[in-house]
Amino acid sequence: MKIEVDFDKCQSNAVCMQIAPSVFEVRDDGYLYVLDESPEDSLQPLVEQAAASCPTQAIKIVSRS
Amino acid sequence: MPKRCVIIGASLGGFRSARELRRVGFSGEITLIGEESFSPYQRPPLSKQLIKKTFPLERCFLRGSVAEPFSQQLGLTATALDSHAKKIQLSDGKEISYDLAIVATGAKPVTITTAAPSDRVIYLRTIDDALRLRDQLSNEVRIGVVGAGFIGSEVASSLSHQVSRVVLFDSDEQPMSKAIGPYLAQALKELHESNGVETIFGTSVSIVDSQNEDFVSIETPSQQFAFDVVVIGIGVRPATQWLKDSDSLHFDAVGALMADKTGRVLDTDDLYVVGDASSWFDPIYQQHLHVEHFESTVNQAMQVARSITGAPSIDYELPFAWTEQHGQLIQTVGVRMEDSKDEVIHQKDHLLVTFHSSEKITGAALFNNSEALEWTKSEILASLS
Repeated sequence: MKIEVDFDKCQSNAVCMQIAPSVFEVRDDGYLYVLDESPEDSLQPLVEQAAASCPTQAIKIVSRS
Repeated sequence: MPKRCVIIGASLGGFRSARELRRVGFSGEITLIGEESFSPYQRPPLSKQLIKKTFPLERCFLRGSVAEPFSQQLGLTATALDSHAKKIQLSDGKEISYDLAIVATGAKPVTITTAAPSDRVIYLRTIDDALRLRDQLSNEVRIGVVGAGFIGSEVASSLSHQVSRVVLFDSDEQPMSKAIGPYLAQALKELHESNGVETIFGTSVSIVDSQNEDFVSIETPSQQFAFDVVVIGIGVRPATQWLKDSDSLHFDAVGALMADKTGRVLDTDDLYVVGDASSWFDPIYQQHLHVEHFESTVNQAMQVARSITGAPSIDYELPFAWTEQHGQLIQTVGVRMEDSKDEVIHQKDHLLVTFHSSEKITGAALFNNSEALEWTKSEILASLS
């Protein structure tokens, strides 16, 4: 799978980080970093939950394996 | 020939306009003029996470920078604009001329005359306001929140388990009912109450802030309360007073500067407006809309940069907002008209309320139901077009 974050919409709420911390990290500088743009298949349910839970809908799953 | 673009307002709309101008190839000089001393920041966290002590201030600041030639003048306001001579008067007595100007001055809280802003009467709008509130919090503090719109309702939620008492007041019967409709508003009211927020709704209040007392008093016709801090969120008004002497500008009923669907101020050249100060013509709703939310401002900033440079327009997006209270996510999309007939759709633990007016779906609110957001947007767009 491949994910994309729309940083124009991201508000650094860190909801994604709480759900999938191995993929999303909001650092002390306040910005979201995508640690893994192509996470392995086993992470797909968590990444889908993170994308759905983002308050601003900034996370898109652009391809699924 | 390179031009000078002056942007008045250095918050989300102003900063994003500047950054977007560079992204679409504007090579002229950009000057950003801002009233506050902070670097450009976003407001959504202020009433949600920032007033909880665990949230770092850095997370509020906006990402990115603007390439040269760029100058930022903070701690300064614009006091007048001459759209014919293309000059802006500044609070330090200087004047700045522009080829292009973007008004991004946002909005100011509506204030109550008997309750002047102070350390114990807070109109939450800026980082300073939020930090002033945060600095006073302890588990002994009693907080009164007047106004149960987005800001007041969020503040009550954020503080509910942090202080000794939170009482939320509104003249309406429910919180946020204009935005989310009475059904979800009732659910939100019950959510507040089950989290220890006392709700005093459907009554007028008067605030008495006497220097002789060590508390601020809030009185309803039948009760009297004493608070250590009172937070007031009874709405905002577009910060456009400084433009009122300018000829040929048009303002809507709340004072927002009116623009066409590209962001260009009506009956002007080279003058644009974004964010809370603006009312853009919306091509889907076929009317001017004044929207006070992050996402609309972001989209307007992107569009204005394209309008100025002639780059292709962005895709249309419906107005969108979200709030999180007591751990529950509420999102709104589209518009809830005053005559709205609401329809409640249950989907297991999730809720969707659609707003209907003139036999069309004009908007919706979703309760812990972001999976349904994209589908809801397409239903609204299909209904309106």
